[in-house]
Formats: sequence, C-alpha cells, structure tokens
Amino acid sequence: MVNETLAIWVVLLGSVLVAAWRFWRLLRPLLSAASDDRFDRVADRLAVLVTNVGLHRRLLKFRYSGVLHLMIFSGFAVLLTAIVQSFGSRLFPGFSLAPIGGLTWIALLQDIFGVVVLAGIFLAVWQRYVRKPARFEGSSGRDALIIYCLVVGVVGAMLLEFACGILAGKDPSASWHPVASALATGLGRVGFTPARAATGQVVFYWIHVAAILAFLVYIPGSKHRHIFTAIPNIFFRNRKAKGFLTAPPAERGQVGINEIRQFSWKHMLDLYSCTECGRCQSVCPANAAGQPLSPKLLIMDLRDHLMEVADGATGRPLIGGAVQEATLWACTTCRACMEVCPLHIEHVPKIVDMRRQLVEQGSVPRTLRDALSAVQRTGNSMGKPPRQRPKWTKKLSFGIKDVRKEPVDILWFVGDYASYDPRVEHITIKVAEILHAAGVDFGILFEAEQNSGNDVRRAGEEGLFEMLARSNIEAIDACTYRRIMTTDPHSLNALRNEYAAFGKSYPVHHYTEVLDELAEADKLRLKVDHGGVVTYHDPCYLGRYNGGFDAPRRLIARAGYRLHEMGRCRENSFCCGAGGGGIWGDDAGVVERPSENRIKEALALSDVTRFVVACPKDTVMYTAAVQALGAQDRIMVCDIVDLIELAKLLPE
Amino acid sequence: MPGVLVYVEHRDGKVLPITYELLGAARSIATTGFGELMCCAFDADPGTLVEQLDGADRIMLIRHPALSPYNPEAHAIALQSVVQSCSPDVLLLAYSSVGLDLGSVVAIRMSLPFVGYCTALQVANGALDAASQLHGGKLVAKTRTPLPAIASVVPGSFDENAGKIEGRGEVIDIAAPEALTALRIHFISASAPDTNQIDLTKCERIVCVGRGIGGADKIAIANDLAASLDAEIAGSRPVIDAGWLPKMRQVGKSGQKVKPKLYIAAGVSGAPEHLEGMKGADCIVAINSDAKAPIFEVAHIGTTCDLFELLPALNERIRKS
Repeated sequence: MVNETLAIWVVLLGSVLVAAWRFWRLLRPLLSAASDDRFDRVADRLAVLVTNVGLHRRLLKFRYSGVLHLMIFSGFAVLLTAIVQSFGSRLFPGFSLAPIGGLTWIALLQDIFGVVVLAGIFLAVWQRYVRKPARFEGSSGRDALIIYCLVVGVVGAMLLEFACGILAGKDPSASWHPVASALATGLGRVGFTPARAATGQVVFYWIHVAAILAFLVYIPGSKHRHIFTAIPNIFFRNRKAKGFLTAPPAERGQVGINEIRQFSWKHMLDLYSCTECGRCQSVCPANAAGQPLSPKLLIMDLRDHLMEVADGATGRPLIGGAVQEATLWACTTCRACMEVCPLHIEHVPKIVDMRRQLVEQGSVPRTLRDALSAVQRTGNSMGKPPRQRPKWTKKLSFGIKDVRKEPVDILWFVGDYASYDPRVEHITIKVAEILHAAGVDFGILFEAEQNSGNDVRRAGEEGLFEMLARSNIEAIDACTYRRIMTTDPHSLNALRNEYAAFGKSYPVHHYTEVLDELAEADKLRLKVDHGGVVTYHDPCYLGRYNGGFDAPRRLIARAGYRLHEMGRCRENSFCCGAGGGGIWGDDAGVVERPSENRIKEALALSDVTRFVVACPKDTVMYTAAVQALGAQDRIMVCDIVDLIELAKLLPE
Repeated sequence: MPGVLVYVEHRDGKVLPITYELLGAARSIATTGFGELMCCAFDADPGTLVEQLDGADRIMLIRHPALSPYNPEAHAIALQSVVQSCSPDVLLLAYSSVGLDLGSVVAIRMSLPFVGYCTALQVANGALDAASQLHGGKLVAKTRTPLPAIASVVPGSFDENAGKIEGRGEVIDIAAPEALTALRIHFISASAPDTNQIDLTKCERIVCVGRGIGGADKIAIANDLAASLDAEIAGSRPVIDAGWLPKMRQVGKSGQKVKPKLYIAAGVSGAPEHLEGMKGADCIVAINSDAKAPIFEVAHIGTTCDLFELLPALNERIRKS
C-alpha cells in the first residue's frame, strides 16, 4: 500500500504541475495586459453565476444542447465525490467518505449520475455526428472527440471499478450501487471470477485515475478550458450599460487596437473561454448574409493569435493577418452574439476597437467613408443641408416649438432618418400630430441637432463621434425640458448610454413608451375597431440594447391588432443589417440581405399582413427588402404609429 | 548617313496605328531635306512586319526570341544597338507605355536629350523644334533641342496615311546583341483585362434602368440607346438584385456615385439611396410612368411617356442625326 500511495502522489503532483505549467503559459499575457475594472457590484456578479452557471439559463435557450450540457455538468458535480474518494483513499490511507454517506446515498448518486453523464455524452455524440448543426462548422471536431473518450473513460472505469469490487465481494455499499451491481452480474455471467474481479478492481481504479489526470493535463490546450475559465469569465462580465462602448484608454496611446497584446485582460480571458459552441455564429446576421464574419471564428482566430504571440511568434499582424478587414466591417453590432453566448464573451467591443484602428489608418470601405465624411460636413449621413433638418415640420397642422427658444416638457431628438428620409417623413409627422392631439408640450432642436453618433462610434470613428456628441450635448444642455423622446433607437442609445463618455446620461424615452404612457393615462384614445394580424420586429438598439420590448407590444394591442410573433423575437431578434454603419455599407459579398431573410421569416407566418417596426432605419431597410422580394402584395411594412388611429370623439 | 529613326510598335503581328503617325511625322521632317527615314522593328519573327512598313526607306530588323512578346529590357537593348549602328539625328517614339519604357532608357544610356508629349516637330538649323502638351493640353510648351535628340509623340498628332507611302523599303538585318541572352526581366504571362470592367464614375453619359424596365430581356432597348449615345448602361439596386445587370453597373449609395454630363433614368423611381448616387449629374432626364416618383425632384427634364415607346424612338432619332 505504501508503494501505491507513493505512486498516486507522484502521478497526481506530476499531472498537476504539467497542467499548471500549461495554464501558466496561456495566462502569462493576461498579467501584462491592459487594466479593465471588473470588480464592481460583486453581489450582482455572484448572482448571475447562480443563474447562468448553476441554472444554465443561457445554455438552455438551445434546448437539446442545454439539456445535454446540464446532464454532463451536474453529473460531474456529483462525480467529484468519486474523484475525491479515489484520490483521498490512496493519498491518505484511511480516508473515506463513509461517515457522510459514502457507502449509502453518495454511492447511489454516483451510480445514477454516472449513467446521466454517459447519456449526456451519447446525446452530444448524436448531436455532433448525426444532427450536425451548422453552428459547429469551423469548430475543432478532434478536440470534442478526445473529450468524449476521456469522459467515457472516467465514468466507465469508475462504474467498472465499482462492479469488480462488488463481484469480488469487497464492496460493503453494493446494495447502494444498482448500476454497478447489474454490471457485476453481467461480468459474472461472462466468466469473471471473484479473483479476477479483484484484479479488475485495481486495473479499473488506475484507468479511472489515469483518465482523470489525462483530462486535467489535456484541458489547458482544449476548449474544455471553460471548466476553469467559465466561472471567472461570467463573474467578470460587462456590467456597464449594454449600449456603452468603452472609450479608448489613455494609456493605450492610440485610438484603436492593432496588436493583440493591447486588449485588456478580460478580453483575453474571453478568448480562452470560448467553447466553440457556435451559438453566436448561428444568430449572426452577417454570417447568415454570407459575409466573411463568424463571431465564433473571430474569437478562435484571436485566441490562436494570442497563443502564438504569447509563444513569441511575431510573424503575423493582428489585422490583415489573424483577422481580415472585411470580417471587421461585416459586423452590424447587433449584439445577438453577445446576448446568446453562454460564457458572456464580448465580441462587439473587440470588433469596434479594431475598427478604430482601421479608421485611424484610413482603411475604410468607400461607401462608409462617403457617409462619414457627409456626417462630418453636414451633421447627417445623407449629406443634406443642416437647414433642411426641420423641413418636415412645414407639413404639420400646427407650429412646432423651438426648444432653443422656449421651455418644453419633452425635447424631441428627431434623428437623421426621421428628419430627412422621404420614406420616414410621414411617420415623423404622424408622431408629432399624435403628441399634439394628446396635448403634450414638446419641441425640437431644429438645425442645432446633429447625427447622434451612435453608429459613427460603432464604425470606429471615435473622433467624429466626440465632435457630434459634444455638439449635441451643448445644444441639449442649453434647453429647458423635463425629458427627451426619440423615434430612433440608435439616437436613444447614444443619448442614454454613449454620452456617458462625456459624463452625460439623459432621461430619454422611445416614442412607443411615451405613447403607451399617454394611452395608459387616458390622454390618448385609440380607435380599436380595425384589427388584423401583424408581426413585430424588435429593433436591436431598442430591444436587445435597451430592453424596450413591451411598450411596442402594448401599443399594438391597444390599437386592436393581434401580434403573431416571429420565432426570432425580443432579445433574439434578427438585425435588419443597418446597424453599426451597416446601412452605409456596400453589400459586398452579401448572398442574402439580413432584411430579406427577416421578411421571409415574416412571410412564413401565413396570417400576417403587416410587418410592424419601431425604428426609422427599419422602415427604410424593410421597405426595400419587401420590394426586392417582390412581396408588396403579401406584406406591408409599417411603423407602429401607422397602426394608431385616434378616436375622434374625446368626451371632454 | 544620318536621318530620322522610328521605333515600330506592334502587337500580335500587326503594326499599331501610332507607328504610321510616327512615320508620317518622320516623313515631314525628312522632306524638309533632311536625311533618310529609317525605322526599326524587333521581334522573334519580324517578317510579317516588313510588309506593313511601306512608309520607311530603310527597315532595320533585329530577330531574336527574347524580343517577343514585348519585354522592355530586351527592346531597350535592341533599340540602343540600332541607334549606335545608324546614329540617327532624331529618334521618334510614341508617347505610350512602350515609348515611355524605351525613350528614357536609351536617352540615359546614350546621353541624348529626350523631349516628351510632342504634338508638332520640325528640324531647322541643326536643332529639333517641338511643341509639347502640358497639363493635358491646357498649355503648350515650345522647345528647341540640339540634335541628335529623342522625341515622344502624342498619338493623334500626325496623319497616319502620310506614314504608309513613299518608302523605299530596303530591309537591313542587324545582328542581335549578345546581351539579349542575359536578360533580368522575364515575361511570364499576359492577361487581357475583363472587358466588362467599367468605371461608371468616369463615364460622361449613362443610361440607367430601374425596376420599371420590367425584365432582363427588355434591357436591350436601353442598351441600344446607350450604344447610340456612346453611353454606358447602368441599373438601380432592384435591377442589380434581380441579376439583370452586374453589380459593377449599380448606381446609388451601395453602388457607384456618378456625376456624368448626361444621365437618363428609365423606369427608375428614385429611392433616396439612388438619388444620392446620381443627383450631381449635369443633366438628368427622367422617364417614369408615375408622375409622383421622387426621381422627378432631381430631374432637369422629365416625362411620364411609356419608356418602351420613347427609348426606341429616341434611339432612332439619334441614329439618323
């Protein structure tokens, strides 16, 4: 027994040292990485560990994968007892879990969860080799296979070790091991004598131990690192507003990132946490459009590059080497990838940080460059004269207030598309007429307003964003108002979240919220006698970024329409392709526009005749998509406000 | 005996028109009582070229495999050896990529002056008087250069026909220089540019079709008009989406931003993204059956005529005139 104790000490310490060394090699770059303050709101950070690690909240959104992961995860949590027992009994002769139930209920759980893990592995194998979801494309199949074998090795050897013990008559807990007992009976039938079983018990013990240690040593080089990195990565996740992009830190000395080492330690930890599950890839609109972006492959490429650089390789540049420019420009910053990632990996900020570098170098696609220079020249991306911004107000039945000259209750920040685009103008006018009819005291900034800079910032043009933000802040702060309203989710996000970069956060509301409030307060009476079935598209910057899911739905119901939801709704909404500067892109490499993909989804709901939106850019994008698909006679794109008809007879 | 030497530019066994212009220019110098009109042609097999060079008195040939297809290093070596052997007073080259390749090299190697961009040439009193275009023709520089000298001539400056007659056509073979066997530049392959590659932003006239054209088969109507107008055909986004025209012919925000002198929009309704791409055109002619179409807001001339009647009629009228 002394020899066995010595042997287990040697192999255990040896394996731990090798694993620790391998981890150290990976984690070295984190020690010298840029700082990132992720230590605030600790209680809240811990709480999400419970829901997202313990309860698998995000994982279970993909039902099949979530369930199989939960089976393996919970199984290993229970089988930790078997591991403790196996190592403890040899490392410290006399150690046993028996006093706390090691021979009774723990034994039973080990048997049950051993089977649960094996069933989970079966489901995983079935998924990977039979169901073959497209999201696995580009992930390492070899890594997955090795892990399956090791897991089966660990659990199988454990059960066989128990079975041999029972057959040899050496297991006092035999009656608490139903599965192992059945196996023992089977082994007995195929000619295993108690003497052979005694040998078998030792052999399977060592196989069990060897598989566990092989697993330990293998993990640092595998996507199964997440066993160790998931908890810290989720704990240190972003707790700032979803719609706030971190400004380039002063100590970086440059606006963007062109070397992997310039990423903060948390962004590096993200890279090591990726499990290559591909959920992000499956929800990415750019990927669906056939553009050269998969959020998963982006993270994997960055990860491999970080490992190369950590190992001293200096050959490939980050941008143009590890990551292609076209990949960075394909992102619409819709945040679907970040919302779905079980590890809370932050794809979008990394992309924007690299875009900042491209802008700094002047490597910007032509159409985007034109739009940015139009914004710089005129304050709007269409390059229209600033004086024409309030032109739409000439068609109003009343004189709209100039907030610069008189105080108002609501300052309406109109936004570029709502102000200038002829396809959106009628919506803007109708919102104004409804507010006026409801007796709301509101006004606009006229030509003092400029593009909010939301998408300018996401295109990586940090300098222009700052100019726009400062100009808008100056204009807004010179006015007297109680709160701000906009029909444009992108402006909403900038005013609510992005202007925090300059110490500002405005009380800004989406118009759906304001109209819903007015209706609730009975200041707005809607006709409800038309009805019909509609579907609703959640704009990324209203829904996913700012949680504005319910007011639009309540308004649709108030107007008497029945909402037939598309499969991809609320936080899982599918971006129209316009965000993050996408509306200024040139469609290069697009196989199917995300907007057309989305309209097809709506067309599949056979009873839906209206595609309802709540964002001026959506009106533009989806109107074009319906035309492109030639579906004008089957579905009509309309804004929520198009559904609203005021009841003429107000009693007062 | 000294005289004027012309470098013969040729491709695929055919002498290029600019060479006749050069011969014409050389003839005009030669007839002012000035020596002989020589030309030199370099090729692996220059036989077929000789027949095409009736305008020269003496045709100097260098025959060597390295001279075909065109290789700047090889031709510079050959030209230098011809210049050395016949010592012309004037060497004429085209103001072309080949002329630019060779003229400067020979000028440096032989320490000769090189006058570029010439549109007129005259030899008098032992000097070459030349007129050169500057700034794309906005200025003309007149220069006087002592002989011997090299000049490159802007295509279109001299009469081709004058270079096709009156020569004696005496053929002289010159031994290929040794250096042709030790070149540092090696020709690998030639590929023709895709003739579909066009740059709409540089076109002076564009005929753009929109969804109103109705189908790929109808585009021929617009194509005919474009051909008569020497214009390029283009499309709005729906036309490109439908695959009726290639992406490079898309006008608009997600395509090309164009500023031609004439822009005919046929069946284009004028989405803001389209207008953004063409509203800077000097003259916009809009044809659309919907009088409320936004395209009319930017058009200088507009009509709600049926484009299927108007375009062929317009085409016919233009052809007749």
